[in-house]
Parts: sequence; C-alpha cells; structure tokens
Amino acid sequence: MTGKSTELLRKINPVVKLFAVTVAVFTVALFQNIITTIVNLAVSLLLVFLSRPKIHKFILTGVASTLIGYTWVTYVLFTLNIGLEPSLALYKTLLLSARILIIILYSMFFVATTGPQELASALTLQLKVPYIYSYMTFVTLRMFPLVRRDLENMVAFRKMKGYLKLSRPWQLIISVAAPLLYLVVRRSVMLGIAMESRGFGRYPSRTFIEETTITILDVLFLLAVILLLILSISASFIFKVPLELSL
Amino acid sequence: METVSVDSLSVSLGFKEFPVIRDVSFTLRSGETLLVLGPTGSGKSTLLLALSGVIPELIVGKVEGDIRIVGHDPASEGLRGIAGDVGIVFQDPEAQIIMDSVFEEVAFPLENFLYPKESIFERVEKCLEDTYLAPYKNEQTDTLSTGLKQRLALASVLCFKPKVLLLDEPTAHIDPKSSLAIYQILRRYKSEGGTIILVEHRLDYLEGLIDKILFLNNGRGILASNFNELLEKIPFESLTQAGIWLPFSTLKNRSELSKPVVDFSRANTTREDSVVMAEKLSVIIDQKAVLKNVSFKVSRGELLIIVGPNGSGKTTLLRVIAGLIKRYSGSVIVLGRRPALSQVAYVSQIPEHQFTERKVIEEVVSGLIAGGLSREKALKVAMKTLEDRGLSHLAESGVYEISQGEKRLISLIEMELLDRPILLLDEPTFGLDLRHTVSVLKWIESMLDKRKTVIMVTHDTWVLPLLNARLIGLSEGKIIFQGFFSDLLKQQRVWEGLNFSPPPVFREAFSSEQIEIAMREMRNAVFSTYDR
Repeated sequence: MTGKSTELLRKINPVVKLFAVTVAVFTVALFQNIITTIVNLAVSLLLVFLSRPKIHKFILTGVASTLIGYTWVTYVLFTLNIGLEPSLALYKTLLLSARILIIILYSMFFVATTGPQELASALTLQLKVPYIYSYMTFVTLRMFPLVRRDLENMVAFRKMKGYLKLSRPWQLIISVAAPLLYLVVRRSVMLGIAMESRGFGRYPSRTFIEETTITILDVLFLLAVILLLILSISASFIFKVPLELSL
Repeated sequence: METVSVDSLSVSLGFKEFPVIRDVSFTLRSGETLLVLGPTGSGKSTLLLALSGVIPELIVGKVEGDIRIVGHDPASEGLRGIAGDVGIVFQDPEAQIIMDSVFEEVAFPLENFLYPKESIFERVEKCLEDTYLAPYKNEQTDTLSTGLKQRLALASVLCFKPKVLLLDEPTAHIDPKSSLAIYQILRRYKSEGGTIILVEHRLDYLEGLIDKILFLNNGRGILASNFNELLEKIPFESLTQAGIWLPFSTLKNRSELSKPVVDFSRANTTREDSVVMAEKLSVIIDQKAVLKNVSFKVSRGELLIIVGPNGSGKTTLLRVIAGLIKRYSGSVIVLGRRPALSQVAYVSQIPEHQFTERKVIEEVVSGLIAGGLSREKALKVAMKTLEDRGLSHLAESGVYEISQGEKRLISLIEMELLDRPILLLDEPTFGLDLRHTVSVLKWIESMLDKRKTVIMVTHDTWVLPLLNARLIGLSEGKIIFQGFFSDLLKQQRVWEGLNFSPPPVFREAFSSEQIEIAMREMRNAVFSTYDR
C-alpha cells in the first residue's frame, strides 16, 4: 500500500509539491489555531508516512533537540517574561512547537519524494527559470555527500592526532575549516570544469530526456491540499476558534 | 591537417610572474596521441588546463603563445567555446560525475548540446555498449565502484564524439583490469581518428598508443617521438631524477643487476605475536554487504598488502582496523583489544584530510604537541625528521602549496611521528612519480625495520614485487587469495576476481625460478635507479 503511494507521490510535479507545501506552511503561520494545526499535523504526518523517507540518526537528533530546546525556551519566555498562566503558556508553546514540526515534516516529505534533477527540470520547464540557475540547486545537493564524507574523515584524523579535547574545542573547528574550504573549492572547480566541458551553459536552452509536465494527478493533489486547508479554516469559524496571525 | 597546434606556450598561475610552463611547442594530427611526462608538480595538469581554456577563464592565470585546437583558440573562447570538440577526463571520478543514474550521466552532454530526444537514447545505448557499461545502464552513479565511475566519465565524454581528448591520469584511482579496459576504449577512439593528449605516470598500459612524448621539467618541454629518442635528447639520470617511469627494458639495461640492493628475507620472517586478528568479520553499509566473513592475522613488524578491484572492501577493512567503522559482526582484535583510533596511524588517500595547520613544519609538529611534547622539543624532532627525509626545504612552505607527492610524504611523516605500533596506508603511492613512489616504499621499509606493523591497500600492481609482502586478495568483500606475489602469479584462477593484471615484466615468467629472477631484477633496477 505505502509502496504504491510513495510511487504516486514521487510522480507529482516538484513545482506543484513545492507550491502545495508552501501554501500549507503559510496557512499554519498566518491562520494558526488548534484546528489548523491538527489538520496540518495530520496531513504532514500522513505524507511523511506515505513517502517513507530515510532519515539519518543525526538529522533525527537535530530535529528532536531543536523541538525540545524551542519548546522549553518558549514556555519559559511565556511564563516568566510575558507572565501567562502556566496552562495557557503550555497551550501556546505547543502550538508554536507544532508549527516547527509541521514545517519539518512537510520538508521531509518534499525531499523524500523529489529528485534534484526532477526539481531542476520542473523549475526550467514549468516556471521558465533558466536551466543554469535551476541546476545550481541540483549541483549543490550533489556536493553534500562528498562534503559530509570529507568532514567525517577530517574529524576522525583529528581524533587520531589528539585534537579532539574538551578543554580546547575551538582547536578542532579551526583545524577543520581550512582543509574543508580548500577541498570544497577544489571539488567545485573540478565539477564546474566537468560540466562546462560537456556543454553545460553553452546554449540558453537544453534538451530534457525526461520532461516534467503538469498532469491530472498534480491538479488533484493540489486541490486536495487546498481543500483540506480551506476546510480547516472554515471549521475554525464554525466552531468559533479564533485564528491568530502568528509570525 | 593539424588538429592541435601549440606554439611557444607559456603559462603563469595566479598573479605570479614566473611561468609554470615556458615556451612549449608541439603539433598533433588526427589520430595521434601525445604522452605528457614530468615529475610531480612540473606543470602537466597546468598544460591541460591551458589547452582546455580553463586557464584563464576559470582559474586565474596568464596564457601566452598560440594554441589552436580544432580551429579554436581556448584562451579567448574559454571552456564553453571549445566544448563539443574537446573532451576532458580527470583522475578523480568523484569530482566529475554529475547525474544520479548511469544513463542520465551519459545523456547529460547530449542534452546540453541540444541533440533531439530520440537520437540521445540511441547514442547513449551505443556509447554504453562501446564502453562495456550497458549492464549498469539503470544503476545509480553513487553505487558504482571507482573504476566504473571513471569509465562512466569517459563514456559521458565519448558520447558526443569530441575530436580531441584531454586526459589527466585517467587510471590513477583504479585497478589494473579497469585501467586496461579504459585504454582499450582509448585505442578504439584513436583508431577512429581521435586525438589524445594524455598525462599518465603508469606506462604499462600505453603500448601501441603513443605517437609523441612531451617531457616537462622546470617548465621547459622537450618533444620526442618515442622513449629511445627521448633518451637521446635527455640524459638518463635527468629522467630518473625527475621520477619518469621508463620502460623496464631500458632500466634493466642501465642498472647494475648483479648487486641485490634490497633484502628479501623480511617476507619470510616467522609469524608470531599477532597484533591484528580478524575472525569472520562482516560489514554491512547501506544494506550492502561490503565485507563477508573475513579472517586473517597480522604479526608485529609485518607488512600486509590488501589488493582487489575497486569496491571490493579494501578501504572498509582498513577503516574497521582503525576503529573508524564500529558496526560489524565477527571479531576484530587490535593489540589485544577492540580497534581504536588511538592505537593506529592512518594515512588517507587524500592528504588534505589529515592537515590541520598552515605551514609544513607546523603540520609536522602538531601531532607531537598534541601528544604532550613541548613545542621546542617537537620542533627539533620535526626538523630532524624532515632533514633525514630530504624535505627540510619545505619546512616553511604552506601545506596546500606543495606538490601532491610532497603532500603525501608530509602526511606519512606526520603519521610516523605519532609513533603508533600499527600503520594503515590507503593507496600511499597513487598519483606519484616513480621517485616519490620509491621514497614511499623506502619509508615503508624503514617502518618495518622499526618493527612497526604496516597494512597497506594498493592498486599499483608493480609495487607488489618491489615490497614482496604477504598479500590478501579481496573480491566482493571476501578473501579469495592469501599468499605472496609469486603465489599470485601462479594462481591465474583468482586474477579475474581480483581484477589483477601482472606487470609486463612478469607476463613471460611462469616457473618459480623465472618469477624470482624477474622480481630481483625489477627491484634492483628500480631501487638502484630511483633511490639516489
């Protein structure tokens, strides 16, 4: 079941996905209350579940620590600085934290179901962005695993050398910065040469062997997301739950 | 009609006035190949970057003289201007693979050159067949071995049929069989009228490919049509001093073969006091079994060399022993306990990963100071070591400014000074000229003399007879061979699995006696010529 759904979500045009996700995120930010938050949380969780992303433990740790830290700091600010009652402070804090979680979940869904090359093609073919610029995203993403590998190796070598000391944490950071910058620049120059020598940027347009298009699936997906958002806002009026502009 | 014409070319890098290349001239016709030789840091890569228009378009520099490539002037037209007529392949495949899948990678240039969609599919299919990559058509590029990635980079260039190919050590990172496959493809390209300018240290594979040789040294270029002519123009000592890999027949005739220069007895030392023991070691990375039931032992003071094709698990094995990979099944004992970074010194394929400082001397002392030595004492030890290795002139140089060979030697010295009982070396000779390579081999021998244990991964098959160590052959994560080089030569059934191809001098050696004589001759010829 989820396998087929994942395939279907992957088939959706990246530009449509990007638009739908952006609208959803802005809805939560601009019209926040318990109803819009719960609806968006449910939709984003469902999308993440269906897209089955492979999440690295470091990312999960980062997400968890961000949420916990944000929740704690916000609650302290609401109670101590603004002087809200603990229960109201907790309610408002949880709403705000949920908003962060929703943004993270929508982003996970987008990244898990969108190939960098499809995104570049869609930006060029549907949004008419010059392909040189749309491929920049793609090439930047291409560099991430290499940079991560370099960084892992560098940290390991510093551990071996005895540079990883709690008493001098800056030593590690300073010692990694120069070689990392050097390797990133060198790799970028090489990749740039490899691309240009293969005709990248020679002509203002290019052929796409796999062209992205807007299909009925894209229209249905976009309509479904917008309908859910409208329903959540309408329900807020029906149940008289005030919408808050919360930036 | 000349395809490439270079007249009085001088190239300076950055804003420096002193040129890296001075007054170099040559011409090439369609179907000809130029081999560019020279010591590490002599300007070979700079020449290719100038010919491709990268200098001055993408890398700051000054190009003087006249260059014509298929009617283009790269200095004024830049890389984009000559794209389509000229193809470039570098030594590092990681830095030139752009797309996610094999098919997309080969199609990438055709899409850029606005080929119609239908003809792209036809051309890509044909190109994948010609480069023996058809079985990998739908594979993700990230999952390919280094050898396949390099072949893919070549396929992606050949698909648009450039008239000139610029190749910068295209086989530096890859195993012998993959290298042979690449040169087979290049021979076909040449026979179809393609012109090649090739920088390459390893001459084993170039038979029948080279029409001209350009020797670069101290910026000057000397042109010859073959090695004999090159030897007439340049003294033998100058070539060997520059670390040029001369054909073994030439070395053999010039060196004193009667005097054995290197002791063979080390390989036969009794194995006791195991410092590394692996028992049924298996490693799974990204749901793929990289090592499967690997068992072996290494003794104190022993040199163990791990060979095998790209992607066979060699570096993974080294990283497990180093304690960099902690998730594995089976047992690994290093110096009586679980692997830990504090027990070993590890020399990476990329020296820059190790570097923490700006200057060479600071880099060499950094490990000593981190280990608790006072700065004054550390400086003394570091200077003494640099002097002993003939590298004291580099002390005040920046670590990123020295040549790749020098970076490699500095990284070895740095690890040596950590004074760990076990040294792990990942491709320590890759990309080095023969003089630097011999320096690395001598360094390894000096470590063994100090009873250090050395475990080394290499693709350079010609290094094996020079070191005569125990070998482990890995194929698809399994050990399929254990023994010495002479045993490997006799067990042809494992060559396929190891992507092994013996150096040319051993192709006629069949009996144990012939093998031993060939090994001794090779060691004597190489060490007596290059270790001066």
